[in-house]
Amino acid sequence: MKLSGMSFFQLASQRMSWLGARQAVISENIANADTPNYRAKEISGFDRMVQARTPTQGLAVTDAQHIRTTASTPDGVRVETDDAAWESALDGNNVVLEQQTIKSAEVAGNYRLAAELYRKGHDLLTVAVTGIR
Amino acid sequence: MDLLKSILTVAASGMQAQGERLKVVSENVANANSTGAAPGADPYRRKTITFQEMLDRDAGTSGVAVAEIGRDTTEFQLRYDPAHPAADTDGFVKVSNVNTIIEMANMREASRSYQANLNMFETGRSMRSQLLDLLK
Repeated sequence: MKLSGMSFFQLASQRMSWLGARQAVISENIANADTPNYRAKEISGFDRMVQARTPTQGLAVTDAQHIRTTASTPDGVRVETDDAAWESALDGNNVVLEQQTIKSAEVAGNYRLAAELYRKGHDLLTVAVTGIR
Repeated sequence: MDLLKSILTVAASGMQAQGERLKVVSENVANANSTGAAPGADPYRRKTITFQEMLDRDAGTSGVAVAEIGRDTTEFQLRYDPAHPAADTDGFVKVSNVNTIIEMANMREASRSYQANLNMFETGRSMRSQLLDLLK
């Protein structure tokens, strides 16, 4: 039995990797909050990651001599510029620390939820297999 | 490198850049009253700092780095003080173009940004530890 084959575990781990990717992008935004002409970034939605059957990474690296793609994001996730940024500063930077902080807290909460769910699924399996709670 | 780990390096790059900015601010404030020594000599010229996005090719993430520490080219103000060693023939001394209020505002902003990066670091770390807790 493969754990990832069960849609629940697959969904939870996909959710966690999506949230991880989102948090990484938020941390880039916060680090670049004072960089002139930096545009805030955001990643594509989770629904698109779940639905995506084809990888959006582009060319695959099949040989050690190939040029590596810089993207470290999981399959089905694309980094885009954030069009929903609240405001833009005079130096062309549109990172709003408040907005990013809210997002980051939201992501951290959701991550915890996903991790707890994963653990619950595990507990459920343990109960089913051993019969001991 | 996994994404959660890259959060830590990105936040660390942000903290380092903001720390550098604070250093420049402190240099400006410390030298706010520095004048030249010879008659008519230039006083301390305010330093400025600019950031740029820095792409980490191995991790595929973009942190931040100090692009340049430059000098503020605004004109010096003149102060009438004939007894000063740097006074010119008319008795005027050039004083530094550091504005303490601006430096203070800059300092606050740098320290807030530092804090934001630190929080991000903390969040990334706790997310990572939740992931590792699944192994228990």
